[in-house]
Amino acid sequence: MSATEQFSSRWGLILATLGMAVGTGNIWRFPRIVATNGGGAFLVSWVVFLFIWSVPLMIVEFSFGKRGRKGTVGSFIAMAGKGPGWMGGWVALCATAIMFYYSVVAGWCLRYFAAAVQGGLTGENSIGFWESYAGSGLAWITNAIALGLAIAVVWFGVRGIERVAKVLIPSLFVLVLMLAIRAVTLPGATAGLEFLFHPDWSALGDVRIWLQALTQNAWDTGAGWGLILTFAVYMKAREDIPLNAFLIGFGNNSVSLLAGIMVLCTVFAINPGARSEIVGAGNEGLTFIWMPRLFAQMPGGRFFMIFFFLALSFAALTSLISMVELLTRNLMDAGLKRRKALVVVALLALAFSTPSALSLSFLHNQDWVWGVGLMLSGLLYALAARRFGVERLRREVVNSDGCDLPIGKWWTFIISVVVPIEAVVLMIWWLWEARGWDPEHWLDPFRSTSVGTVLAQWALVLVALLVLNRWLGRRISAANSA
Amino acid sequence: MSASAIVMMLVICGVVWGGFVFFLVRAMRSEGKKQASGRTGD
Repeated sequence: MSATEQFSSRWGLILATLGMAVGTGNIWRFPRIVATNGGGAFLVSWVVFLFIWSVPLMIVEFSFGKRGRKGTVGSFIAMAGKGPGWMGGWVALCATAIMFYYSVVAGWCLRYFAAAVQGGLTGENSIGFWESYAGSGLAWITNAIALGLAIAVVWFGVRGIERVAKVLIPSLFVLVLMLAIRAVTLPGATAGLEFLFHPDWSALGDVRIWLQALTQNAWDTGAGWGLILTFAVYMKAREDIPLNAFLIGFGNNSVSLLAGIMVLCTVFAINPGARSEIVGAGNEGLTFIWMPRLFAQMPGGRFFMIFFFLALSFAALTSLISMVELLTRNLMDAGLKRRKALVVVALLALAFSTPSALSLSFLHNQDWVWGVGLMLSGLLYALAARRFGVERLRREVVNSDGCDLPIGKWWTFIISVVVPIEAVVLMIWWLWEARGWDPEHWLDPFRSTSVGTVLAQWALVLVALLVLNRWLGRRISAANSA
Repeated sequence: MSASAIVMMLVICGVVWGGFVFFLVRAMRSEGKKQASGRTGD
């Protein structure tokens, strides 16, 4: 690997990986989920799963990338043998399918930032603004702009990603901190803090709270997505793994906590009567309809609305950049040069993001199918690590030269036993929940959020990967020896 | 705010933000030592 294909410093790696981890899920999903799942009790379980899902899986991802020095497919082959190469393919396809609708979300954020700056977004017109924009041709254009920005950054390789992360991530932290400080200083904001932190201990006995907390960890820390593995390919040979993983996990959750304080304090200070309606409005309803309304009623609200959508745009773009890099890296492993690979990524992304840009129903379908797919990705990481030998991975890679925080055997137990159980339970629970959403058509593969659509799309991808498994292995070996 | 909510806020914010600051300071110190000894990870 050339010298330019390496992060210039540990901080470059950490900021790029934090950029990957901190996404829209921290800002628009976390506050909603805390508010609807018992507040303080949810936060306790959310912190627990940081230690027994997110950070352990981040350590596996870092170790696969550092040892394998290839994208998800190549690193899974390097670590677990040619047989499980399809597992790396699943991780790549799952993250890529998410990229195909996440670019649409990033485009929404950019559009709302522009509208906030221009003054075209007011509290009164927020519903009309959203309804005329979402699913329109303009949404496709903003999607293309978001993709174009991410591709332009990845065009300059890992140093381009590092330079952008060094500007956007500290800026994002400052913006979210400013918004949180403004929110807690609003009259009546303490009711939001009370709601967020009130410990309803009986809720700790509710299995759903724990499963929601695990889901939030699986979706918003980026653990098991293949994105950390992709950035780890470019880490230095004697770079630390465990301390970096803890730093990124805690940094990501710090932003989530700030976002929770910011959103709930704003809601309780400005419109406490509508709090159930606001937090029950879904990700898009909360962010694109209610937040502009709330900012419009706040002193100096326009400036804070601009900061809010700027922070959301930074969070979305830095995550989108990592998804573009993941597919690019896999194509490079198959023999393409970076810029040729990026042209392929751009064409694929433009084509496959179009249905999500033009149809919210299609976007929600993809979010559902591949969101649950991430839990299977987590399971596959644990299985591949078991094949390599989890204890061997701990001794030879995780705790190797350069390690600043040696990891004990607790990690071996969590990856061997706890993570596979968590992943299987979580997948079964979500599919069981979905059965109740539409009891008459739960197996219909053409329904947006049915069990049938998950099983059908997973089956298509898994069959394709298993059929192509040998070819994938040969292709990567050939490119490697060329 | 109730006393129990204040205690919970201090515990959760202490663990999450305190943990972040703790790991950040530890990484900075470690990186400083590596720089001083010329072992920068290459």
